[in-house]
Parts: sequence; C-alpha cells; structure tokens
Amino acid sequence: MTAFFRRSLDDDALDAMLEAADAELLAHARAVTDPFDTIRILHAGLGQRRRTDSPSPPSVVTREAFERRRRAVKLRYLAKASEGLVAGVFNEVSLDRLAPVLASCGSNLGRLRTRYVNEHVPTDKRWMNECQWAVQFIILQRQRLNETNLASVLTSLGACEERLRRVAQGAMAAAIAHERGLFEMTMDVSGEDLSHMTFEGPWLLENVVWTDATRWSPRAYDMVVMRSRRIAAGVYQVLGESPHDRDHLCV
Amino acid sequence: MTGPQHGGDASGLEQLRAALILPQASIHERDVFVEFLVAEQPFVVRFLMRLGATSSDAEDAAQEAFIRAWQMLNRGLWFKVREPRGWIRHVALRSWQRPNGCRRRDREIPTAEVPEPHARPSDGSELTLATLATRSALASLPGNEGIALALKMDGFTSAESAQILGVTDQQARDLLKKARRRLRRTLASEQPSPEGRTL
Repeated sequence: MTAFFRRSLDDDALDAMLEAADAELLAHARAVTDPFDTIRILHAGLGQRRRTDSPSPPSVVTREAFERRRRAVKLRYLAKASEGLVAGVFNEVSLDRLAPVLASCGSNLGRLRTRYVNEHVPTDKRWMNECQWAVQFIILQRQRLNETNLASVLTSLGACEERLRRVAQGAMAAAIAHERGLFEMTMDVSGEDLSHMTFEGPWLLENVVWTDATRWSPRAYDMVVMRSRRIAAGVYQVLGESPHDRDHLCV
Repeated sequence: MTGPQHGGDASGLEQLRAALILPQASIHERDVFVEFLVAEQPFVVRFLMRLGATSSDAEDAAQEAFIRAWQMLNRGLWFKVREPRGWIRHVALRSWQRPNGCRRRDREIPTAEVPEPHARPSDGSELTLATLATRSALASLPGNEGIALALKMDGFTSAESAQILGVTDQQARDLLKKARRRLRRTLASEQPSPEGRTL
C-alpha cells in the first residue's frame, strides 16, 4: 500500500492498489449481502410485477408515432440500398450482370420516390424522376449494348451517372435527417397500455417518456427497464441508442 | 414454509430452493439459477460499490436485478441470455442509477417468516482509508469510464464490456485507458494518510 503515498503511479502500483481495495470491498460486500434475502423475496412472489393501475390503451397518435419511426428506418434502408445499387451500376462491366443491377436500381428508385412522397420527406423528386427514367432507358437499350461498346455508352451517359449519384446521396441524407428528427423527438406514453404492442427492438423506444402507470408486454418491459433513466418521481425516459442499433430491422 | 434461522447455512439454502416454484423452468434450471445468485450477488454488490454506490443501495439494486432475472427464468428466457454475469451487472447498474425505480417502491419483505437480519456493518465502517480513497477515485470517473474499469476488474474482456456498454471494442479499450490514466492522476494527487487506519 506504499503506492498510496506516491506522487505518481505506474501501472503496477495502480493495479496493486486496485487489487487491495477490491479485496476489501469484496469482503465488505460479502458481509452486507445475504443472497438468502433475495431468495426469500423470490419465494414470497414479490418478484412478480404488480399492476394496480388502470392505464388507458395506446392512443392513435402513439400508434402512428411508432409506425412513423418504423417507416423512417425502413426508408433509410431503402436509400442505403439505392446508394449501393447506383455505385454498382457503373462498376459492372459484364453485360449479363448489368441488366439486373439496372433493373433493381430502377425499381428501387421508384420505391424510394413513392415512399418519400408518402412520408412527405423533402427531397429532389425531379432528379429522382429523371434518374429513374434514365435507368429505364438503359434497361430498354441493353439489347443493343455489347461488351465492346458498353464502356463508351456508359461514358456518354456520364451525366446520368452523376445525377444518379447525386440522387442517391441526396436520398440518403434526407432519409437520415428524417429518421434523426423522429427519433430525437420525445414521445410521451405516460399511463398508456402498450402491453399488446410489439417492438422490434429497443431502438424503437428511444427517447420515449413513460411512467409507473405505463403497461408494457414482458419483453418490452425488459428492454425498457434496462435502458431507462429516471427523470422525475415515477417518470422515466428510454435512453438513446446508437444509430447502428436500428440496423437490425429488415426492410 | 418455515424460514431458516440464518441465511448462510446449506440446509437453509436447500429449504428455500426447494420451496421455489417455477412454472416455466425445470428443477435443474432453478438450481443453476440459485447457485448463480448465491455465487454472484456479492460480486454484483461490489461492482456497484466500486462505482460509488453505498452498500445498501448496491444491495438493493443487485437484489432487483436478480428478481428481474428470476422473472425471466419464470418466462423461460433466462437461459437465452448469452452472458448472464454481464446482464446482471447491466441491469443492477441501471437499477442503481434509477434509485426510486417503480418496482423497488412497492417491494415488501414478508417479515412474518423472516428472522431478524444479522447485525450488519454500516456502510464503509470497516474499510481502510486507502480503500475508501481508491473507491472514491473510482467513483469519480466519469460515465462509462468507471463502468469499463469496474467491468475489467470483474474479469470482463473488452469485447464483453463493449457489448454491455453498447460501444465498439475499440471504444471500450479507449474508455479503459482513459479511466486508468485518470485514476493514476487522481490517486497520485491524494494527500498522504496514515496507512491502514480504519474509520
């Protein structure tokens, strides 16, 4: 314990101090802890969650808010996939493989456009329309292409490539901004009965404020309790997740 | 059921264990869980005390975490937890950080069947000054740094800590380095005190 008196500590001294303190803390913890107390509580059935309140079922607003969050994550997925496809289009040198990539790209752009319109997410719809058209044009013309002139055709469509890339990047940026806006918004489910709602993951509950009176399904309750912090008496907020946690959702 | 006179004897454990009824778990699963609880609870308490919890708060939070684990066992979910030691610390930590948790408030111990508790030392009463200083320095570590170090001291690898903390492996290693650096600075700046003196 002489390291305790030193002015500077090396790793060994620090480890020695931590080890000594840890051993003492463990002895203390053993003295104050009685696992039998816990077992008695389990035996008494007090481990079961009590529900003495009468919460109200989830409002339409709450249900819609969760649904919008789900859709926002899916939208970002779609934008990401589109971005990848656009990059893939101009890397394809094999004519056989170019056609399906182009077809996927065209249909993805179409889906993106529809979803953005449905979600009222501001994005450059004009470019998206043009690019989708350009992709469709290439698809239609693919029969006339061969390995030799493919490169020159793609070069001549340089403007198309640039537009496609811009659209894909813009779509991705819009999707991320849209998603961030929704998830940073606090959602209040105080006193609501969410026991019949399913949540794909904790990411969906980010920044949700809930109270003792809020009801959850057992699975959701586990997720919520582990990730919540108390913000007032009987009021809790689910902590934010890192954005990549939302990537577990499949489109 | 008649409660044992003291919590620590083997026959008491057997009586309590036999009395636990689990609709969704086998007797073997129940026994494994009880062994886990008996072995791990003091370590969970120590884990929280490292982070600055008082012994009573740490005990409460650890107890709450094990009750949650028990609920999961009841639903047949406990054995799907990949890293029970990490899970229990994570839940206990959350519970401690939320001191007036909704379930703690309505917990009551059935005193009719429970003998008087042992005389327990008050918090920190038998800890030496050096230990208290180290603990205080540990508790002063900000946010995840303290947790990363406390997990490391419990034998968790960086990958396991990363999973518990919800960060990448590299971030977990960085947290640990920062924590050690900060701890060295804090402890080195401590004023000398008589060695081994108890408060």
